[in-house]
Amino acid sequence: VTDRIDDLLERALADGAIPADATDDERAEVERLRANAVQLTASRASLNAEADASMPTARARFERFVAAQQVHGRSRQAPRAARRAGFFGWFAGGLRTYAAATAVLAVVVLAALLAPVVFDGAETASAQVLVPGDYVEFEAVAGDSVDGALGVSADFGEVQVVVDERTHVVDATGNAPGQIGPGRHVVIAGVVGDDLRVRARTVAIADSQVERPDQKRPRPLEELRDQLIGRVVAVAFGADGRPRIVLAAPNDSLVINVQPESLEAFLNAVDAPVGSAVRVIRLDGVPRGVFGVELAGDIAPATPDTGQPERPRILTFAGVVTGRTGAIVTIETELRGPVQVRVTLDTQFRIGDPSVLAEEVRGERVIGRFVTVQAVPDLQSQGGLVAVTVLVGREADSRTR
Amino acid sequence: VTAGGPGDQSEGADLARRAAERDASAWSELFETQYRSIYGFVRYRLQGAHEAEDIAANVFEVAYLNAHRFDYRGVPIQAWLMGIARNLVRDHIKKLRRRGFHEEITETMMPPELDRTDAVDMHHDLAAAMGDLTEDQQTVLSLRFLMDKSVAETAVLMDRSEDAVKNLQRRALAAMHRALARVGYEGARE
Repeated sequence: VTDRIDDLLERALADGAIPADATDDERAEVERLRANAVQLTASRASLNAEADASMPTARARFERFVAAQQVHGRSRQAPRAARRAGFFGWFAGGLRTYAAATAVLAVVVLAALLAPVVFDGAETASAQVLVPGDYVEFEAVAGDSVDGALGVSADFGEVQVVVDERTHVVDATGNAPGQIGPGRHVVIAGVVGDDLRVRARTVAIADSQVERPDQKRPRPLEELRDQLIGRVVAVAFGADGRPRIVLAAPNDSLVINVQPESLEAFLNAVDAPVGSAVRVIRLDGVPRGVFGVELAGDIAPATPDTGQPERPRILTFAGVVTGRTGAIVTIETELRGPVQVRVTLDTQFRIGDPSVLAEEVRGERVIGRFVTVQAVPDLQSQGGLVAVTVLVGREADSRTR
Repeated sequence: VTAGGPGDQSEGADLARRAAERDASAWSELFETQYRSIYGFVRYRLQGAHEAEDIAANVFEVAYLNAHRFDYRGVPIQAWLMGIARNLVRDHIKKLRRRGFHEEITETMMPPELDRTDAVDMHHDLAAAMGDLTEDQQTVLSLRFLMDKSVAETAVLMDRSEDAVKNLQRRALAAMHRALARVGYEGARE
C-alpha cells in the first residue's frame, strides 16, 4: 500500500493531477500530501528573492575570504570548521602532528609577542564591548563602506556594520529614510555576529557631520568609589539577557554590568538610552561588579556638533505588555503611558533578562511581562510604530502591572 | 540543473576539478550558481534570514579550505556543499542551545491572527513545521520542492535509490502535514 501511495503521489506531483486510477481513499491521501508539497513550492519564489537579496553581502564576504587565503598562500582552518581531534588522536599522528604542533606553538608565541601591540588598537578595544550573539545599541560616526560593511568609529573602537535591505534606516526625526554618508553621526542597533561585525537592524542618522570621537579603550568597572556620572555610548544585552552599558565618563571609558531591574527602570524613564546621561549607583544584594544606573538628565553629545542640536536617536523603551489585538501589542510605559506597536514577521524576539529562560516563554503571548522594545515609525500607519526587536523580561508583579 | 548536479556531469566535473585546484574563477562560478540553492537548503532549518546568509556564506569558505579533499570523480559538488551545510547547521543549532538562546521564541510568540500576506504567513508556518522534521525529511523536501530537483537528482544527491526517495518524500510530507496542523495552519487541519 505504501509503495502504491508513493507512486501515486509522485505521479500527482509530476502531472499536477491525481491519477485517475486512484481509489477514493487513495485520492484523499494523495491530495492531502500534495497540498503540502504545493505550499513548499509556492514559497520557493519568496525564498529565492530572500537569497538574491542576501547574495551581495555573502559574495563580498566570500571574496574577502578567498583573497585572504590567497595572500596566505596555503589553506587554514575555517573559523567555524575546526576539526575535533581527540586526545589520543593528537599523539597518534607521529612526526607530522609534531611538526604541526610546533608550527601552532610558534604561531601562539608570535601572537603572544604581538598581543600588547595588537590589543592597544582601537579595533580590538571594540571587541571588549562586542560579544557574538549580543544585541547592541551604540552611537558612532560613519566612515566608508568596504565589502558590503559600513565602517564606523565608536567611542570604544572601530566597528564594521552590515547594513542591508532588511535594515531600517531613519533620519534624525525618526521618520524618513536617509543616506549614511561618511562623517554622519549615527546610532546603530543590531546583533553582533561571530565575526564581530554588527548586523544592523536599525540605523538612525543625523543630518550633521561630526568629527570622529576620541577613542578610549574601555575598562570594566569593578568598584565604585566616587560619584560617577557619564553618557551612555552603548547598551548591550547578552544572548542570555544579561545587560551592560558602556559609559563615557570624564577621562574614562567604562564597561559596566548593570542589574537588569535597574536598567529596566532607566529604560522606562527614557525613550533613547544611547546618549542619555546616567548616574552609576551601588546596589545591595547584587554580585560584585554589578551596579545600578539612574537617569541623570540629557547631556550634550560627546562628538562636536556643527550648530545643529539634533542627534540621531533610536527609539528604545521599556514597559509591561498589557494586551495584544492581532498584530498590535500594547505596552504600558512610565514615560509615554500606553504605547502600541505592531509586531511583524521580521520582529526579532530575544531574551532580555538573565532570569528568564527561553523554554519558559516559548509559546507565550508575553502579556504581563516586562519588555524592552526597539521600534521604528510604521510606514503603514501614521504615528504608529513597528517593533524591530523585543527583549523579553520577567513577569511584572501585580503592583507594577 | 546546476553545475555539479547529476545532470551535467562532465561540465560539473570540470568545474569541480578547477575548484579543487582553488581556481578563483571556478569558485566565483560555483558561488554564483550554488549560493541560492545552499541558502534555500539551510533557510528553513534556521530561524532567521541573517543566520541563513551567514551559514550559506560559511559553506563556501569551508568548502574552499577543504577543496583538495573533494573527489570530483564521485560525488556531485552540490552534494558535497550540502553535506557541509548540514554540518554547519547542526553545529550552529548546538551552539545556540549551549548559549541558551533560542530564536524559536520569535516564531512561537507570533500571534496566530496576525494580518500577514499569504506568502509571508506560509513562510512562517513552513519554517516552524520544518523544525519538527528529521534531517533526512528536511533534506528531501528542500531538494524536491525548494530546489526543484527531480526524484532521480534527489536520489543521487542523497545517495539513495529513487524508490527510497519517493518513500521518504511521502513520509516527510505526512510529517509536515502533522507539524503544520500543530502550529494551527488551517490548510493542514483535518
